Amino acid sequence: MSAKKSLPLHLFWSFFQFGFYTFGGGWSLIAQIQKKFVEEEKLLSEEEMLDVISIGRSLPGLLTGNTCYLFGYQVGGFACALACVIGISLPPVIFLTVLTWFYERLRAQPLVESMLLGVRAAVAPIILSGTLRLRKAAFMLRSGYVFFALALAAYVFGLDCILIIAIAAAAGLLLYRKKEG
Amino acid sequence: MLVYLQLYWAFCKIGFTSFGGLSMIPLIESEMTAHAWMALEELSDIVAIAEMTPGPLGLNCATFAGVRAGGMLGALCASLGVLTPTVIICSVVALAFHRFKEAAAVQHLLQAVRPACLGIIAGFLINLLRSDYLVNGQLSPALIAIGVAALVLLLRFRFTAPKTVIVSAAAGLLLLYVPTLFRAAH
Repeated sequence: MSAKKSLPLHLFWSFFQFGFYTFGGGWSLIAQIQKKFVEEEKLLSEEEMLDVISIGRSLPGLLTGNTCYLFGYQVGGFACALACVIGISLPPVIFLTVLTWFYERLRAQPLVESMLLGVRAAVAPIILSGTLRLRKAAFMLRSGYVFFALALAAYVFGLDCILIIAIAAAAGLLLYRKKEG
Repeated sequence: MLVYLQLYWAFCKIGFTSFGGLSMIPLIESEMTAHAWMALEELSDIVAIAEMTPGPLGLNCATFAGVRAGGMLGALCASLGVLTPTVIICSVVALAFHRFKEAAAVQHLLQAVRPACLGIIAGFLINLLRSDYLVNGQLSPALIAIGVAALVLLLRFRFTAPKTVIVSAAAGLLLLYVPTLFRAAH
């Protein structure tokens, strides 16, 4: 039983370590969880892990946070879920707080400013290439293009993003349910 | 005090209505500019810094924006805000985990929300194009060249985002800073 008591702590510490070296996107983290907890420690079956990933990634919010939370919950309930989420979140929060401190002090230096200008020029391409990777999942149905165009128009027109997504969610629920029913 | 509550609430809303890091960026932009917490160029800086550092993009953006708007406590409020929806929604879902798996409603919702998110990102990219290639209010050929090169590196040569950020920082230094040294020498 003592092993069970320390499970949240064990998870917290593992996820805290994961938090330091998971760059870009949740997939590298998922690979690490898979290796350590599914293959080595066998805390979760392969199938359960797949469910955690697919559900975690279809809920709103931080996809990584969702996946970690659901993983923790499946392994050992609420305490473990929180341990995983806090563990994975602490390193980036610490990192970014320190980095932002430097950013605020150095950004006006001509040398740093020139690098930031160069980096800014690469941000739109980075977002574009990331978005292109999502297009398959988004346009599985033809009607996806209609939602794309309407949302784009609404955004350019100045409608609040949160409102646009809420409307799309409601429309999706209504439209596609009718089609199946 | 108010700014901390505003930060928490703004990121709570962002968390509830976004699906994944990229879709969060336009939402962050509209909240940031609505509260005058930061300018569009600074948002580009966040995205670049967030891509360079480990951790989920959304959380990195929240921390950065929180520090900018309200210091360390602001960072804490913003990151708690962006994590709140995860805890609430996942707690509810975890209770009905196996029933949820088959819930068709979620799939229906996503079939509309996913393309809508892309539409918003496309609109946001248009805004970004209008602000990110200016030096002192003038369109800069050097920055356009960096942008085009970055796109080629990403799509053609499969560069990762962190690598692209490093290359473009070096290019910025070379094309924008080094020439000023020569001009100063004359």
